Amino acid sequence: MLPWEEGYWLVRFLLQRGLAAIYLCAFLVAATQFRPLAGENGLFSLRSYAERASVTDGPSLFQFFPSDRAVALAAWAGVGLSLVALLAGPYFLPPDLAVPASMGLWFLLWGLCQSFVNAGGLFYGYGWESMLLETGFLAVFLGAGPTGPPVLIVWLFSWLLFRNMFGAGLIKMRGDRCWRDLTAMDFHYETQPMPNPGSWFAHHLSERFHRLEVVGNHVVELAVPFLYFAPEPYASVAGVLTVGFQGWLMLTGNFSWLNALTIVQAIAVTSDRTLAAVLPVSAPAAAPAPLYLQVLAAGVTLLVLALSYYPVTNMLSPNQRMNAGFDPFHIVNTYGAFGSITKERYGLVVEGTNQEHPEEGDWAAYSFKGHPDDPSKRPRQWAPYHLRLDWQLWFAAMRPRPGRRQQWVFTLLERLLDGDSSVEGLLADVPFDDGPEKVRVLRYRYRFTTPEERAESGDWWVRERVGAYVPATSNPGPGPFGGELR
Amino acid sequence: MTERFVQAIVVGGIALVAGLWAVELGSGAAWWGGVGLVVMGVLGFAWGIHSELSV
Repeated sequence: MLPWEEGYWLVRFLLQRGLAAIYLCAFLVAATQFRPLAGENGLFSLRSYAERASVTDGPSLFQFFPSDRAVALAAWAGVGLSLVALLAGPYFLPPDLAVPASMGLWFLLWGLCQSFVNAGGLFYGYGWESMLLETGFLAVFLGAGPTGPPVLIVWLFSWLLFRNMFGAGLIKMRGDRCWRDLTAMDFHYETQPMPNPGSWFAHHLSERFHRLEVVGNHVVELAVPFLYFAPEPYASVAGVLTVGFQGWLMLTGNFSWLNALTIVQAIAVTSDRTLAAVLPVSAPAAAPAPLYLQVLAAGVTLLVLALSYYPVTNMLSPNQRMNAGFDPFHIVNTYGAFGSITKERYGLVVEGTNQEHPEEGDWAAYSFKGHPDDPSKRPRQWAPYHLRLDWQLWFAAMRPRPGRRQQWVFTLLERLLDGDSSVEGLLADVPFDDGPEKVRVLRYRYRFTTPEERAESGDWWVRERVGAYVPATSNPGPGPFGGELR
Repeated sequence: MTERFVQAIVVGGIALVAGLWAVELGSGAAWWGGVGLVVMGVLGFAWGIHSELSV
């Protein structure tokens, strides 16, 4: 059967529900974390962002309304709209209204998400932010109601999934040697940004299994993506392999909504016929999309193909960039993950004391939600929820001292000294009621315990102190580089 | 200039997809041509990936 003869009503319905769930998660993260991270009194100041930002930096409501009230309003509006999308709101409207209502709903979600991503600086600098925006942009043109989606838009989702997976495969082959000598997974589970409950167990699987995992990774990321464009059932088999691969990553690490979003994109490579054959559902016989939506879809296709020039050139270049956008709206981007694998894990432990001249035993540690600190603490499952501060701590810990891009660490320490409840809310446990007299940040080298060590101590980690990241201070100031660098 | 392994994988991928469509839609010579392209595509993948491994 030719691809335009396949039905995609059910594909669209599932894809939209999945994407709405991810938007819901993203806006809940914004509602709970944006203000302490990048709000009026955040680790990055929203007002200084608004003063410096230009339209070419990407559109954001917060360029015009740099206030915590606007942040809360936008975030909770996003939560509400995501729920409407999740519950398939436009499908309950009369047929003539369903498509325009759906377009308006998904456009609002996209616009609100843009506002957070473009204003969030370093804390929103992850590949899956622009990937969510690109996926969300395409969703505007999927339509809703009894008519089917434009086939061109469904294919653009396959094109997005292809760049997502193939880009990740190429960056690995070109990047770290451990991907070529098949040893990458000897390190990955232990040194990844935020291990989860499955990571310790995956780390202790056999060497042979780790070698096979890397070979499997190369096949799934470099060969399988081409099959997204093959006839059925090969395209669906490729989709299932992609979903299985992402499922394994979800079982063994916390990668925000990256894996879930890739699974949502993979829905697009199948068809109603295949879904109805394997799921206990039947796809309705949908009429073609309205003419105006098909015309819009053709225009969007031309736009995406034109904007794909730079991402494709980047993918084919030996100097491939891992995650990058090439337009201020993040419409077509280039993606990749783990081009290099860290071989040793470092972690930061923030401590405070109320003593003016503290002894070693006078310090009490702050506890983070996902960033490993206490060796006895079992790594938790957080994804698809995204702990933005904890992820940045992983990057920060790679250096022995804060560099230019870690100046936010000094602001974090100031806020902790002030007992700022909004920033403290980002942490799991705060050992001081009104802020300590002094703070310091210690840097440790971590490794997973062996099964024998864990049986004996119950610990998940063994750690060794390697130095002071920020020495004890009661006045961290703006840091050696003079303050904020978004 | 794109590396040889990338060229092999991309050409192999295009050959594979074209071959599968030819097998799906064609008959006679087109069908056999499709089978040939599928084989070429798989070999392209295998060479492209294997050429970069150092084990």
